[in-house]
Amino acid sequence: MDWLVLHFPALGLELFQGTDSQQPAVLVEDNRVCLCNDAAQQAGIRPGTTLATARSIANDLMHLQRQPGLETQRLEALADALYGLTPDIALAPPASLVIHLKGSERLFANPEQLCQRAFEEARAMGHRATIRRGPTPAAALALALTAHRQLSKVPLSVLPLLSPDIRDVQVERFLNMGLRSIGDVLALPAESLARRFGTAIAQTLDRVAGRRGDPQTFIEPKERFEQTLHLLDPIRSKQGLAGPMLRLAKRLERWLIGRQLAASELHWTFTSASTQLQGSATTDARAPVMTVGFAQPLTGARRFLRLSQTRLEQQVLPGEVISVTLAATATQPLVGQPTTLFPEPGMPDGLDAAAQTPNDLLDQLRARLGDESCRRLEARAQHHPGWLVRQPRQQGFTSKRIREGSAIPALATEPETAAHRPLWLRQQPRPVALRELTLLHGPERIQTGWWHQGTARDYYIACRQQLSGPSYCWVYRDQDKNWYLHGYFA
Amino acid sequence: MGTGYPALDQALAGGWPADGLNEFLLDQDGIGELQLLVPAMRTLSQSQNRWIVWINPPHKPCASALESLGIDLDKILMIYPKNAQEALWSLEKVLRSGSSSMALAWIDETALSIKNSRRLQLAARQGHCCCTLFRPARAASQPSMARLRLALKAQGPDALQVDIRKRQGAWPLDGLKVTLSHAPGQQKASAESVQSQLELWRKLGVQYPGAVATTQRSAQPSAQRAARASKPDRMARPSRRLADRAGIVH
Repeated sequence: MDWLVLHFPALGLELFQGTDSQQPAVLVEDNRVCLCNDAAQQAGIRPGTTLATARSIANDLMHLQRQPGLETQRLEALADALYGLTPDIALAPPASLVIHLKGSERLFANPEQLCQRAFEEARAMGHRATIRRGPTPAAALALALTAHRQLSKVPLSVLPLLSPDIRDVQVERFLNMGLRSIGDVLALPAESLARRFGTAIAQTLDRVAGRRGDPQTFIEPKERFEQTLHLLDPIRSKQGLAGPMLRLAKRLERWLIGRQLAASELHWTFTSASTQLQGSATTDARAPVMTVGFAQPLTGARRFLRLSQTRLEQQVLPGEVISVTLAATATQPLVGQPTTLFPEPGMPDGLDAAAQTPNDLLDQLRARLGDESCRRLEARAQHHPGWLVRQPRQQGFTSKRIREGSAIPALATEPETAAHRPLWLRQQPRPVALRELTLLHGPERIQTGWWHQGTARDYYIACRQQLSGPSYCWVYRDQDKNWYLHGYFA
Repeated sequence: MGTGYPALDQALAGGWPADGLNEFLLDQDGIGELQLLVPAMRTLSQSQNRWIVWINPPHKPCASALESLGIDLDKILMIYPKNAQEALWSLEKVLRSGSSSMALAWIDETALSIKNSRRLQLAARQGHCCCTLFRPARAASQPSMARLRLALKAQGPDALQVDIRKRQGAWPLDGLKVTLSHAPGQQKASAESVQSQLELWRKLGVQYPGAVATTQRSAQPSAQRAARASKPDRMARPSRRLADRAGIVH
């Protein structure tokens, strides 16, 4: 019993959030019901009925068009989530996953444990799963599809689901002969079976019985996290988005932990009904996008959510949101954060250890005020005075080791020729009259950028008389002999 | 926490309060208000792994000047909020977080009610942050929860007149004179060398102040070099080199 199959009977419906509601909902393909939820089943709707009939049975019926593309995507996402349990997972469309138990034999001595974990993983992603074990992939699949316990009792109607080459008419011929289950057919001699009913059936039965190899292509894990949540009810309010956003954040958290990664940037996309109608090509262009960056890479879903919600408050939603996409655009290997047993020297007493780290504070400020609002100072080896006022974005806090009791190094006594710079610099230098100034020191020629709009300025330290009293300032004279006030020795 | 100015340390019973709200009341930027805080900022930036936050300063602080005064630039966080509400929100967040050792804030006067001032004071106490608000001198008549209020006036270019309007454990004090330690006035000796240099130029036939820029001379003759370069041909040499280079470029 090396093979395990997870079958998701209601995958198509569970794609849309809120299917556990009391309202009957059905999945429709070609105007016929192909899947119904519990409420619809109780109302008496069965797969195969037409939409009109189903509507006449239940008034408040909600019907959803089947979207095979989304189902495949979700199946891949489920396989990705289960990759944490075993590396040997293969897709069995439309709604099943095949797992080889040998792949994680050492990790799970008891396969029941693996079954339990797989079931919980699927449940966490919002899907009910039927899990069956079998000696071959096909046998396990047949059991899971029909939710039977014994292979010999599995009805023959499962055969068309196992192989696309088998048609319902062929199964009918078996039924007419009085053969109802797989056990009945397997008991027949294989060679004559192939002669009478065709090779497709014989090969499928060989696969089930293990007389023929059945190679599986196992999935490769995805390197990038991007998942979409489709909402059954469109959401208008930002508070309403918290639920779907948390579910996505939790999936991301599991994905990150499984790969020992931490995200430093997230990308949210909120698609509205109107943008989706425009077609898939323009969806991305029109859908509002929100990027949240973290000064320190994170893995926790709650913190993802808190910062994302702060950022979301600054955004304008495009009316009704029907799907939310989360992508981790920048990830880094997870590095353990060193913490101290004793409080750091120099820190004030009584500052509780639960206080935010400097990077937490920066993240919160950036989420609310925007990345542009938080800046850092940078001393550049660049003589152009325009560079002096440039402030790049603040990226994060770098903690430095502080030794207890070490004296703060004394200021290097500046040589007299060293440039003396004011503490305040004006963003734009202001014209000033020479008669207000008493030049004290200078000139200091700053000339640079001859390759591009060169500047040549003679800087002086001057004393300026004002109503409030004299003060030192930094003035310069440009090549046109005009005087400008550039800074204050505050 | 010592202020670095003995007169102020004495008046404030040891220095700045370790946490809480302080106010500087001044009408004119650039009279030396930052220099009062520089020694404390230097100590905090080198002894604690916490931010030093500047919110909405009226001018740009010069990075190289701060660095030369021994302040660790990596710990400085500049915040430019879009309006007074955001400024108040971010200041309170910064103070309460416990991850900033010092905050300097310039907040719109209309937003600083007594209620907000109380919130800021509590937040600063909770987060162990030393916060300084810069307000105009007329705010002295407004009630405030700040524990320390200093009115600053320029008294000569090298000194500040500090009127302590409010302090803990003592009566207000007027007319305290604080001599600034990092004022360029320290370089006054070189003011004389400027004069001597001007004399030299006059002798060389170069007109002050217009001629230097128009003739494209290498205008960096510092006082010492000028003193050494008593012969006129030495002065001329760098300018010729510059002219050659300019010729290559054009």
